[in-house]
Amino acid sequence: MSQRLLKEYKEAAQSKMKEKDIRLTCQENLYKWTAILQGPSGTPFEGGTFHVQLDVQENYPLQAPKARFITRIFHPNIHFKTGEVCLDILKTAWTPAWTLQSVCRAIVALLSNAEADSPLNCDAGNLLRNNDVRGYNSMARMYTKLYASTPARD
Amino acid sequence: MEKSATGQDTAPPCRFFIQGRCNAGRACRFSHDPRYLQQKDVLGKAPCKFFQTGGCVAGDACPYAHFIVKKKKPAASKPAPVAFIPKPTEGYAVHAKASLRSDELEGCSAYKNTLGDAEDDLTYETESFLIGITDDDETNTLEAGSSLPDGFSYAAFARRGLNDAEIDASSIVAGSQDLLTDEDLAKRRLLREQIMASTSKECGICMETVVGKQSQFGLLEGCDHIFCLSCIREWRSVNILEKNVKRSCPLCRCVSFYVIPSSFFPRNQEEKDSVVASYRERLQKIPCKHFNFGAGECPFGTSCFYEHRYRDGTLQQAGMPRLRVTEDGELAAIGKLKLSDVLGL
Repeated sequence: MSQRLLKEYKEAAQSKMKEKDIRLTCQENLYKWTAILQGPSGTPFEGGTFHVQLDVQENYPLQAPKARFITRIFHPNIHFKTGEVCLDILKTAWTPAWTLQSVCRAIVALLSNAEADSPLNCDAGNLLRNNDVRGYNSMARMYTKLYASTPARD
Repeated sequence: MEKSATGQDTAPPCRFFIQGRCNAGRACRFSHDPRYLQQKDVLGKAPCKFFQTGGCVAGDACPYAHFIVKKKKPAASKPAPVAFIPKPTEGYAVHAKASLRSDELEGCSAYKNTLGDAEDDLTYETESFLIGITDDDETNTLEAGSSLPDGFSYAAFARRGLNDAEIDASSIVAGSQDLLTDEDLAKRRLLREQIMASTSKECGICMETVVGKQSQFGLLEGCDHIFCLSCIREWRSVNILEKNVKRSCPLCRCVSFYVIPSSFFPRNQEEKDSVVASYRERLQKIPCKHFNFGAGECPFGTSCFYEHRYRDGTLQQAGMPRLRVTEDGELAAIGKLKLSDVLGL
């Protein structure tokens, strides 16, 4: 299946220009990818640069890649310490039609649409569940400033 | 190796020897005559036998070299092992005769034998008739020598697991043009069109072109997305996922209960229906392993694709489950009740 990874690598290199908010890179090992995501505008993550590590499994694309945030982020569905991402398509709803690029797109979408009912980060989840959007936004913005404000090197 | 009375090699050529990998060596009962050896291109790639007849669908993805083999008989003066006498043989003469006999084949690029004045000058394009021979060593060389219509190699598709419902395999091997009816030819032409139209189709899982990968298409019952048979089967056999997830199409999540193998991708519903029908028809001729002629029990019941025939030759009848009245006065099924019994499928 490394044929497919090679193809995705080529496509990632091509789409670098098109999609400014997602930069998918891979050095030496096709099974270890790093995605550099820009926080979507209109969210408390705006202006932040988030590094996500994607570990591709051996039987990819039959099994989902493992995604982990390296940059700390305050988000109900992302573990604050380990960076683990709770996203259905990375677990039960995975299908081989997803690519690494589309997984990144899904993660960016998750940043703007948090699902507070299945939280990995209970503090963030509780704030949202109690409708304290202002509190959640300010916390998230603070952590974005604190950990994710170094712009990606080019 | 068979030898004629004169010690000459009359056996048909060994197909493994031609590929340079016959394990039988001198014990092989097919000919190891060096004049059958292939030429190779600069990269050491063996020539593509389908390219010889102008019909390799793999294009650039083909692992074999695309050039026309022109083979000259080795000069008689060259020393050679005794077993491989590089002399014109009985079998050789037969080929020559075959080419003369089948006048109707003239002009067909697949079979251009030119007969020189002396045997040593005999030049011919080997691969074209080898295609015929290597596919069935039992076929005699006369039959094998005759060519396929339109310079197109159907042997390629036969080897890729093309089912006999689509092309009658025996007619490929026999291959003789006089044996082919117009209907057969039309069928082949249609199939070629269908395969050619599918060449650019990309599998949604491995993202390679299915035809270029030398794979079959795996059609889904519920939707029209494109997958390799091997890819979609592999995905559906993943154990870690729930049944409903893996039974659904990776692209649209439409649930399909079975996958239909096909050598081409149907262009419309009509073609798909005919592929499905011929696939089911074919399976219905195979006895079900679970049913085991009535000795076992098939979990798929009467909706099973395979044949449920008892040893005495009668088919299992779909119908109401047999019921009996229990001591409490209630109805109970005799034997296990299957979902298909209740739904009447």
